[in-house]
Amino acid sequence: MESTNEREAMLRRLSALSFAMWELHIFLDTHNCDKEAMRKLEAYDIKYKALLKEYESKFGPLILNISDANNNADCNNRWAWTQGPWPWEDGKEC
Amino acid sequence: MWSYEKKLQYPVKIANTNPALAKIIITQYGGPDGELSASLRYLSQRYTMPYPELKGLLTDIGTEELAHFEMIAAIVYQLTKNLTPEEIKKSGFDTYFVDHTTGIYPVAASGAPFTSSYFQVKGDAITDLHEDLAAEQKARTTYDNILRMCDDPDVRDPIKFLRQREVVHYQRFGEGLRLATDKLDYKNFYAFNPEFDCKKPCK
Repeated sequence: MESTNEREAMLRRLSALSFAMWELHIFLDTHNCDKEAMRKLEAYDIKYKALLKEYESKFGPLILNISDANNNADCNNRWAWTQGPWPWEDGKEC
Repeated sequence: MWSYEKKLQYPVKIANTNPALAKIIITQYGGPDGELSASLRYLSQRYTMPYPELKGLLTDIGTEELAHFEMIAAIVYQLTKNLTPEEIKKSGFDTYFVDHTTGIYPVAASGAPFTSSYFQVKGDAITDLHEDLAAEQKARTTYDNILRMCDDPDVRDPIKFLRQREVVHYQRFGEGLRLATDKLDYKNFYAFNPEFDCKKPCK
């Protein structure tokens, strides 16, 4: 299924960005004045937010936002939160 | 509090089931040096830990360990899908199956259920940070041992990621220990316990 591949590819890009951000974040726990790390973290954050918005508009929420979920007449977003595949699944669950 | 992101920290996509391997890997779910033990250790130690950097570090690494706990569950789940009774018996997975079917339950590879005696909260900053450094190395050794017994690249890839995180956390805890000792009596780090003896707000 093409959309599954597109979803996985986009999710991998999101994961790579959020991992880079997390790594910088815990580095900053013990180096809290490192300006270079802060600058990189901010740059990744801008890219991450844009990609997250694109992903969620196509494939449903990764992070549940109540106003986004409810602001939808046919309950699509609320349904999308509970809809699989969940992160541990391969999409072939019954 | 915590919030949930509907994704794994690192992707897990395993094509072929392998219940014998699942029985080994589940030790990182509920075994002595597993991710649950790691998460509960750090998240419990942080309450009386002095110094803002250390509270932040224990909160963040304890949170990341929960994401690893979920990755291990995903690996075990995908390794034990659609098994036949024959596969279950032949692989040795039968001793787990009889109690839990293919549900994900925190046990060690030996079958011993999870217990909080796998970790300590001593209430002394230097002591707890040394436990944390040792815990990261013990988990790293466990992942090395898993890699010795696993040749499936779909499984090795996320296991190698998790192994590498142990090395990074060890580095961060080492820096945390240095931050703590820098604030203690440099002639005698054990002169007082900053988690108990500090009556004034700790700087």
